[in-house]
Amino acid sequence: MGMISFLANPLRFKKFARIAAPIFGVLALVLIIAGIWVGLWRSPEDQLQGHSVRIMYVHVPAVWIGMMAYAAMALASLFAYIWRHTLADELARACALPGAAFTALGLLSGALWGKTSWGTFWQWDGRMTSTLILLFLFIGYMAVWAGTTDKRRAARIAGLVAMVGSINLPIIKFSVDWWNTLHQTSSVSMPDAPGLPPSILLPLMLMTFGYSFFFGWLVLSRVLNSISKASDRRQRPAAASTTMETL
Amino acid sequence: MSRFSGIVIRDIRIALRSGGAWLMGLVFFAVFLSLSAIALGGEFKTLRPLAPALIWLAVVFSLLFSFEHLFADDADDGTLEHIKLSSMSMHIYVLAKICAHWLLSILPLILALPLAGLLFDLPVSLLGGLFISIALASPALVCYGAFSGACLVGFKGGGFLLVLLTIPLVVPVLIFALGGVISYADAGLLATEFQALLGISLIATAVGIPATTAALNTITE
Repeated sequence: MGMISFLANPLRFKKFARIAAPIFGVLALVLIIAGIWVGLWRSPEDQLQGHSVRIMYVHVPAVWIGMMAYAAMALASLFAYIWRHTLADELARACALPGAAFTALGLLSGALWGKTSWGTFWQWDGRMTSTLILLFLFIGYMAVWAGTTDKRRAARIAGLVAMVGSINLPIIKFSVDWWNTLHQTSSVSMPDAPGLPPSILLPLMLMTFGYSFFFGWLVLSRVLNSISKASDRRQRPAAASTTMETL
Repeated sequence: MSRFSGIVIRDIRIALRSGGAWLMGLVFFAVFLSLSAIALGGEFKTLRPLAPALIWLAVVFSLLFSFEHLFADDADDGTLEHIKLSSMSMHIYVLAKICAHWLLSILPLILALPLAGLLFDLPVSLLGGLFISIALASPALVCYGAFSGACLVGFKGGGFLLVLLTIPLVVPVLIFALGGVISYADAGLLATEFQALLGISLIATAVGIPATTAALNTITE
């Protein structure tokens, strides 16, 4: 909480983001390169799936980050809704496009993996379907922002849409799982007793942290960008009024 | 209570004076089903297993398109501002609008179900399952639709956006409803799916009415 109220000040947030964003970017680059290297050359192939198991290092973290992005978006929307803080709105908005991109990457890589291990690009299986619906939720959220020029209203409505969506996500997940389940169950059980050997877990974790920092870098840069745009807009009328006075 | 019924009666009166516009959902329902039957070849043998899903889709789409104007007209002519200025609770207003909309758009569809059953030569047991599933799921459908409709007052591309926003919320309803239609034949009213539908409807009402109110408040504030 202390951290949040500290960063709630746009100037302080700007200062923090200007330092944190490049650090996140560099960390993401290093971790993802390390993850790719370990994943492709230093990890064993699967007994049954052969080399195609390496798709996992792209696929699993992408879906995780996609879900995390929705959670972050809904949480930021909640803060924005309660305290009417524009920065939280910007934060929620900044999560949407990267979140949608990671979810789409997860679906695409999953389709490729599915083709090699199940023999089909797509199945209407529980997890795949709920990930697809997550993508639709992201698209709907972004469409709300795009649908009106009234930015204040768009922020409120988008926040409501994100929150109602987050209440429904567990119901959607449960119903879709109940409907059809073929997907292999989660192989990584947090926080202890991983079902995967360390040689596979290491690249997976490298990629997950790499993706997380990449996501953080994207979100912080997007928020910084929108803050500077907003302050540009605020300064322009001021400049105009001074010229009026000098005239 | 009298204010509540006042709004319900007002909405029904406006609908009845609209020259039949309120029945367009029913016409859409009939056209959608006929077109599906034509597209699928018109053989009862192929149509019968698909009929519950087609009827459910027709209900969902016919409803989704009906929510675009649920609050838009009240926002345009200033009714919404008056409600807000009056001592009437916005929640009661939303509840009344939802109830009126239920009477005007879902009730005709439910009453038309036997005819839809004739189109596909459906056995009575399936028709009963459809009837119960639609009735149990209807609070969820109207609450989520009303929420999307309230969100999108004055938005560009309102109709399509409304479908996009509402569809993810309707997925569990669709899944449990069609599961319920199948298991109604064995389990009757006590089918697990019907209990799940009832639960979803309760959650949707509890979430939908405050969320719709909040969305409407963004228009007037």
